[in-house]
Amino acid sequence: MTNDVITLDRITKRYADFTLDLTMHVPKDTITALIGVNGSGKTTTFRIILGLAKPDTGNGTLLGADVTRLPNAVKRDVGAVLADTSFDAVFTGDDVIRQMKALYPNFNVPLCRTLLERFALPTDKKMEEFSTGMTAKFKTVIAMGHEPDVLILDEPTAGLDIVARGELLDLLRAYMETPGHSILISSHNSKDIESLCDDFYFIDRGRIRLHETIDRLRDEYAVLILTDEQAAAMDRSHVLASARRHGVIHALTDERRYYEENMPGIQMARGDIDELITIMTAGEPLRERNQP
Amino acid sequence: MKGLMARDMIAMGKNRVFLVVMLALCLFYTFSDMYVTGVMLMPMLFSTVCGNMVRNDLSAPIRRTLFTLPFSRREYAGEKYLVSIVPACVLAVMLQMVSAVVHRQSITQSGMIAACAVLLTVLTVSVELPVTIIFRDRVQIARVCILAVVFALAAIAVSLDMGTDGLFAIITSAPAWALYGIGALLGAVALAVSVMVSLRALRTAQL
Repeated sequence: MTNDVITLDRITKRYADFTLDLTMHVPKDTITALIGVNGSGKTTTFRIILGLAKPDTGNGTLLGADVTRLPNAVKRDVGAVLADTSFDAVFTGDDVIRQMKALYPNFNVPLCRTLLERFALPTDKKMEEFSTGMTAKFKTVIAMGHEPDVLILDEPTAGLDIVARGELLDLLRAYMETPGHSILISSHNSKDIESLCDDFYFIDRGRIRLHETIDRLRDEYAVLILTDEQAAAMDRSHVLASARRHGVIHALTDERRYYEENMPGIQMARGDIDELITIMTAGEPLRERNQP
Repeated sequence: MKGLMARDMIAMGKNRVFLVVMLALCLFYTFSDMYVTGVMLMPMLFSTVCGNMVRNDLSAPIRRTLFTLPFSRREYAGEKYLVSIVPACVLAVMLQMVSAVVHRQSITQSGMIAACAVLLTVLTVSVELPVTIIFRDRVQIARVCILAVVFALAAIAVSLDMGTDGLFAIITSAPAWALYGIGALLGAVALAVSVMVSLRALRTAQL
């Protein structure tokens, strides 16, 4: 029996100018990130998982149920926040809470109100009067209100200031303290991902290019900053991708220690998500990691 | 479905001014000489408002939030048909009852007017809901086009045979039970086709 809360197995979805083709899974008790540039397929992936879009081929499951036929019992265990979405413009926070209470029998109204108060979100103001940041916080609080087993969050911190972002991330960490909870999250903020998540999938042009743990990213990944001569002479077997930037070659490796030992004195920068996305999106892929 | 109904009640409550105006118009029509217009028109207007609620639900920012909630697309469609038809039909019958008392109408006449109002409501919803589901944000344009086609067809049908042996004469001289039967059949068929089209459109929709 799988321990995964989300599985996507060779899921494809074709549009006129874009094809999504991916395999990924989110284990229980983990926070998994889906990262990539705009238009890479993150939101489409979320829509498929939540049953909002039907894949052309492949199989997907959410809490064991087929994503194309999600029963209401499964939906009651999932909390979702999608980018560029909102509640009814004329509804107030109180109206949304009443709506959610009617739809989720176990919706925790006191918890929800406590969280809204903590984030200074009014419940008597219409949704159309909320700022971008207020809407983002509100959606996440409401998604957590029925205490779901899985949270699926598409850019939940978009538009938030640094203080609000920190508070929201603390909320997600507190949510994960309960055993059996899982989160699939996307964000353009690499610090959020690196401080919150256990692992990540990098998606580029509809395909998973890399799946890695945050710990390994931190410990083993590095960006080698090379001259043309160094790049020509080096052993490229542990280079994932490279790109020319500011007149030099930036090469992404997942074997930092190898190059520290074999190319002493080489200029090296820490491998982080921003560099990873930049190099793998713009550069030439030399080796794909963890491809199915 | 209970949750969806609760949501619709909240949304209706936001249109309090509209509901008050509609109630006032209902009373005006009912007590005036245009009582038939009132009985026919008000329920149709109410159903159109429900169609607008569907349009709002299927708008880009709301539909993705809405359809992650714990109900199926089938339940959504079912609830929308229920909410669009049942209250409107109840309103039609109640208005006609009041009108019958005020204008001292016969039971036969009252029954026929109420039945026509129910049929018109069902036909309105049968067109409104699938058109809104299919066309979503472009429904206003689609609605105008469809109404133009419907009115053109109706005008052609009426103009075809207005003589003493014509279709219109046949209809008016038919016994009441036949008219009720034809109306019920027409309403049932229109509703069934409408529900099938709506369900298929929702099932295949990329939200």
